[in-house]
Amino acid sequence: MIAVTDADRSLVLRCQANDAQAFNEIVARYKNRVFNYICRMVGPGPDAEDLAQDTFVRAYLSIGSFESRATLNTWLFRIATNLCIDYLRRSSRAKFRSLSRHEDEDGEANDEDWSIPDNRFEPQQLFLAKELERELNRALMELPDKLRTVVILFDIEGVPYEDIARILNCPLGTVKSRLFSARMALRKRLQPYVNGSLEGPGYSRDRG
Amino acid sequence: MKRTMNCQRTQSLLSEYVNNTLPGYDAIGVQEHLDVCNECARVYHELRRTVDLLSRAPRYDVPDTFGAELWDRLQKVCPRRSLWARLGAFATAVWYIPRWSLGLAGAVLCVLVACYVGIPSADHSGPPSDAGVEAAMVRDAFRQNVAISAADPFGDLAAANLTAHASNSESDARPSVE
Repeated sequence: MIAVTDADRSLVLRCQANDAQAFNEIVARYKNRVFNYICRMVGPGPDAEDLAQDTFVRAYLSIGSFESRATLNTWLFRIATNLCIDYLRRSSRAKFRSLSRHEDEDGEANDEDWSIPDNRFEPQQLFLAKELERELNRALMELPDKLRTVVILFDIEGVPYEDIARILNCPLGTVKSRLFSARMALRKRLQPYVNGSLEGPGYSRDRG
Repeated sequence: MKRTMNCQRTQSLLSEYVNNTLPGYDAIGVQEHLDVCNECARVYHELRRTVDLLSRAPRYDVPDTFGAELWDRLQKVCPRRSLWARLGAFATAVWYIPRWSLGLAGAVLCVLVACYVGIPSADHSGPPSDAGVEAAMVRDAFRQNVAISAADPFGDLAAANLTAHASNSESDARPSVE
């Protein structure tokens, strides 16, 4: 997790003074987290990239009114969350795209890889890793939006309870409750990978 | 008599137990129940593995064109702001240039212009050549010396000779009356 630093506050002040380079630095600092969060929320693909850019465009347009009560991190995640929720409501659930291919506008398969770093694994492990990744994404997309948001922020992006509560503008107890429900649902959905019947990278019988 | 936690209560706390965020009393109660309940222990282990999978989820790479495309969009969305940003940056740069250097630059420029224009000359035939000037100076000095020396014919025989030479040279220059 990126800690709140004076550097973030300084960047905001510089942006508010029309320093374009400061906004460049904000994008460089947060684009990975925002992009990955949105990919998990709506599925990886060009739509996720558009939404990530929309996030920063909105941030750029409204940074003049940004107040230091919120951190830059929570503020950007809030913008991204709102955009994702709007997107998911407009399109009745974003079409899930596999990691190794996605379809272009004509429905033609595109072999562009949405970039799982695959140099860590042996071929069989790579296959299992990609299979697991696909199942993980499917399981996440099957969750209700409210549950998916919390589990992605907490378990994947490492955002603390309190910040999630600010992002979603809900009580701390609600965050914990949704996290519990999301995890239990994922546990059931990913049974072959968590009950020991299937092994893959990131899973070990010795853990737990 | 101590009451142990039941399965429903235990499982409702497992998520926080995995996070190590349970208060001490509840954490002890969960642990004691897991020690004696295989079903809840199984759920606990599966939950931990689920969280482990999530925490190890691969990261997607941001496309290389992301930054450039973003700035293209920003230019389209707020071109006026970028113009003002540029003007603001220009004004800021000018503001920080020392005023004295601007004044000095202006003064130097004026001097250069004045030197190029120059002071007007009475001899419109152009400035005399160096050789002509030197010859005139030598001639004037010669005549001066001659005049001084001629005041005492007995003081300087050479001057007397010079006087004679000077007179002769002048008479040679004039056309002969005869």
